[in-house]
Amino acid sequence: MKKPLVGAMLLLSSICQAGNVEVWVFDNNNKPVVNVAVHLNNQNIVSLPVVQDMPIMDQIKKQFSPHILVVQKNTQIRFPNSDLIKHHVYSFSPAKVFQLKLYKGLNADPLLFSKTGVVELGCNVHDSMLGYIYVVDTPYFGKTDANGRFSIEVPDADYQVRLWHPQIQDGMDSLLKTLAVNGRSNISFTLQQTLLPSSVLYEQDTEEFGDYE
Amino acid sequence: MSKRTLGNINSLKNRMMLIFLLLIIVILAVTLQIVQSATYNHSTEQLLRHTQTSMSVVKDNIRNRSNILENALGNLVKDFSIKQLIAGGADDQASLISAMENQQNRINADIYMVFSENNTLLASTFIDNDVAAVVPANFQGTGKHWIEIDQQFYMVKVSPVRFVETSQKINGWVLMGIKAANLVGQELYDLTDMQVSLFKPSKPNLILGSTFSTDVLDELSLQDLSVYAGLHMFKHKGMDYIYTTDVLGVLQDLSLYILLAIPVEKAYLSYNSLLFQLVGLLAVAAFITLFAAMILSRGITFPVSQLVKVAKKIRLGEYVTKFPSPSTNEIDELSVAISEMQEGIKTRQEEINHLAYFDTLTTLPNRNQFSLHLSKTLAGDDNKKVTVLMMDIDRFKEINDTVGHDVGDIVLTLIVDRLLGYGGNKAFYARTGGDEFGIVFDDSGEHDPAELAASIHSVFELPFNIEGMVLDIHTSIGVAVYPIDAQTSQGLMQCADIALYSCKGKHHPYAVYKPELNKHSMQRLNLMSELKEALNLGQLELYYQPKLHIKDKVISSVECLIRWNHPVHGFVPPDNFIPLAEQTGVIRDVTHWVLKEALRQQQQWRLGGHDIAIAANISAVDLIDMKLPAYVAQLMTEFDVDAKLLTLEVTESTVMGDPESALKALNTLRDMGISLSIDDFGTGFSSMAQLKKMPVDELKIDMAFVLGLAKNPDDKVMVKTLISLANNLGLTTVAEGVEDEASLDFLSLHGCTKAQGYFISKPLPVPKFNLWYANFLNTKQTSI
Repeated sequence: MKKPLVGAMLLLSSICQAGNVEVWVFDNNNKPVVNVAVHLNNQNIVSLPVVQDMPIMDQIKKQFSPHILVVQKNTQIRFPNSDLIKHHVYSFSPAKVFQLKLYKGLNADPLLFSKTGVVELGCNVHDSMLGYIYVVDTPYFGKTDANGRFSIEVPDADYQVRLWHPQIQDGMDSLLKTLAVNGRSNISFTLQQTLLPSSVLYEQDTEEFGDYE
Repeated sequence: MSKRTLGNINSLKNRMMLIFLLLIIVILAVTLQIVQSATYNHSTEQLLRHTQTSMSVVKDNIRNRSNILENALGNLVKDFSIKQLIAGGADDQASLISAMENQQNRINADIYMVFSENNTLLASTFIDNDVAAVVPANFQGTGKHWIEIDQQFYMVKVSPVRFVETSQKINGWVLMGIKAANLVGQELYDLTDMQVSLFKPSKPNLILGSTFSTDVLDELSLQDLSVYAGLHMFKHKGMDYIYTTDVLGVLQDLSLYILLAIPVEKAYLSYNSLLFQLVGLLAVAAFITLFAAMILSRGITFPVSQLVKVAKKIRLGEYVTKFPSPSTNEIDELSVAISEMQEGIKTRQEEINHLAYFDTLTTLPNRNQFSLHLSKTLAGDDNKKVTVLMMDIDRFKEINDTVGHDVGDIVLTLIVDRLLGYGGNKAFYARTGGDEFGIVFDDSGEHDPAELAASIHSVFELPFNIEGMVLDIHTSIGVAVYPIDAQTSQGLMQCADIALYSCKGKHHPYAVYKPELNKHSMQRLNLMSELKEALNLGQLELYYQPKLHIKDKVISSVECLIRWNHPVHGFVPPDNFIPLAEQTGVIRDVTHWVLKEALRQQQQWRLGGHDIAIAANISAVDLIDMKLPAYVAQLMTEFDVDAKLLTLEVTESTVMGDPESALKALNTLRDMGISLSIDDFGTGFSSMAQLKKMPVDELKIDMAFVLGLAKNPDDKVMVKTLISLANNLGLTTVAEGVEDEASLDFLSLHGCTKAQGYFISKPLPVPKFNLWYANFLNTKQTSI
């Protein structure tokens, strides 16, 4: 597929609030929770297309960008380094154990993420750098926006809707809901437990264009 | 003297010293006690603070170790390679172990443990799994944490491992620990200067670690250690330790304690040294004070004792000019007072002297001085001839009575002026009595004593002119010469006095001493004691003087007269010893002897065919002796005496002393039939009334009237009258001292009964009397 098209579509859908499924996430104070990874799983969908192009986990101003990256299993992720300084990215998460020494100008090969799960990223040089790659086993995933809303176009079917966010303390079982999509559907999650404090210095936008909000 | 005053509580010096000593002791004791007590408390407080500081230091030190451990651990768990090794710990334990050992060494820890995120032990120092139950999260938190493994205690720190630092997720744990024993070492000892120990109180105490040597630790574990605040003490092998404890940490509800200990000597080192210095200082102060006290007390007592010496000298009559050097005002005052007193004494001494040795009226030396002067003069040159004259004013009493005592005094002074005018320096003049003067010619040389006396006497030939009166003064002077008349001043004065009295009696202007004048010499007194002996030794003999019965021309009686043949003095006349015997009472023995001897002789004569009456003299003393009549009676019995043939002669004055007793005695004798006659009649002092009372038979006319009877018309008149008187009173008469026939004729003419005297016979001893009597009888026979 054409990257820009999909991107535009996604963009449109997000701006125009396109998509037939809406997932809302609220915290225990009924405040919208942003950047929550949402994915819908349906076993019946067999050949799951690899949706996107090679996503990027960049380091910009000594921060992982994006803070949370959700990818489909078997996606290759590229790790550029937009900072002028060296970063030594690593992860010891069972989903992917790797380390990359990233310099400006040293283009590392993209890495294939073939296991589902949370990959916690750190930089050996900078303790404050923290990022997540959430590998899911479905093409239908995304993150909630500033309003705590995530919408997506999915064929009608029964799906398992799951949430993940590093700050969510609620148990994984409570974050799984089933949803029968039929045309326009929505589901909302209200967290029970208080969100863990953010360890990131500032609120991360979903997109690079978050500045326009 | 010093032996007596040393240690004498009354000595001023000793008292002062004692007081000072006591004061010093009290002050020192109090000071010492106070300072010592204060210093001890201070030292103890210092010690307490030091231990507290040390405790803080130790705790701080251990806390630091803990913090260091924590920091090190914190860094350790951030290490990428460690994270890597921990991540692969399950698979590659060996690498993890070796890396951890390396890290442990770097940190100077003794143990480590690595846990996975679900508390599974990945690696550890302990090979055996004793540590199964350790939950690393429990050891989180600031502060010290403790773990006990295998009876070893470890201070531990734990750190969570986050693979990504800023992540919330804890991926594992690393624990590291330091052995408790390693927390306490030489460093701590050097820091605190105290022995540091960690212990858990129990029975016995569990010592986790200590700087002590093992033998002390053995003791320590047995001790009942106090965990309360403050200082405590325990003993080990005779050495005392002071210790303090504080909580270090808690392990399983039981506290771990730090114990800091220091030997007592060391703890109180400064205190002891201070005390020692203090005692030394006080001792020095004490010595100095005592020394000062000595000086001070001596400064007072020395002048005082000096003044005592001065006073003693003054007492002895030495006049002191040198007084102790001035010291204190009070001593000076005393010194001045004593000096003035001395002056006063001197003055009074001179006054007394003057009074003692001078006559106030005439200012002449007095009798004392006269005597002294004389003694001094005699003590001098032995070859000198010293003439002593005693002069007295005739009838001075009359003059005083006539002109009055005041004028009498003036007379005396004028007399003195004349005397001094005469002799001046040539002689020593003194007023030795009321109207008596003594003169001493120290070196009379060739001057005749009589000449000297005459020349002095002539001084008073010119009458005195006093207040318009013309007064004639006559003096009597007695002279004695050294060494002829006496050898002592007393002797000379006595001799001069005797000479003086003699010229009074004879109305001579002066008289020079002759031994005969002396009725009162010692010689005479000696005689008395010899007299008594003489009685026993038969030195006394009775002489008999016959009394001629004038009409009948027979010797009717004899008078017994005592004669003494002194082995040394030869013949001693009765006048020389009888009066004195009467005065001393020896006469009684004499009279007794006389009576006995006389009556015995009378018996002899009777046995020879001659009845001769005996007349013996008795004195007043004999009369008053009530034993006399009894004695006479006894004698009369013994010698078979006819009372009629015994006559006792008493003088007129015999009765006078005690008329009543005398008369009683006379009457008793009279009643015995004995005749009594009055001796020396006419020369005594009896009154006619008395004469009337006396039971006498006979009157003896004193020889004073009889001796010159032949020539003296006055005597004739006297004798005639006396005979007449006696006759009229019915008394017979005896005339004593018939010296010639004419007297005898006169007596015969005028009716005198008996005659006695040299004309008839002088007193004769028995043999001679017998001869005379025989001759008398013959003559009488032939004349008839």
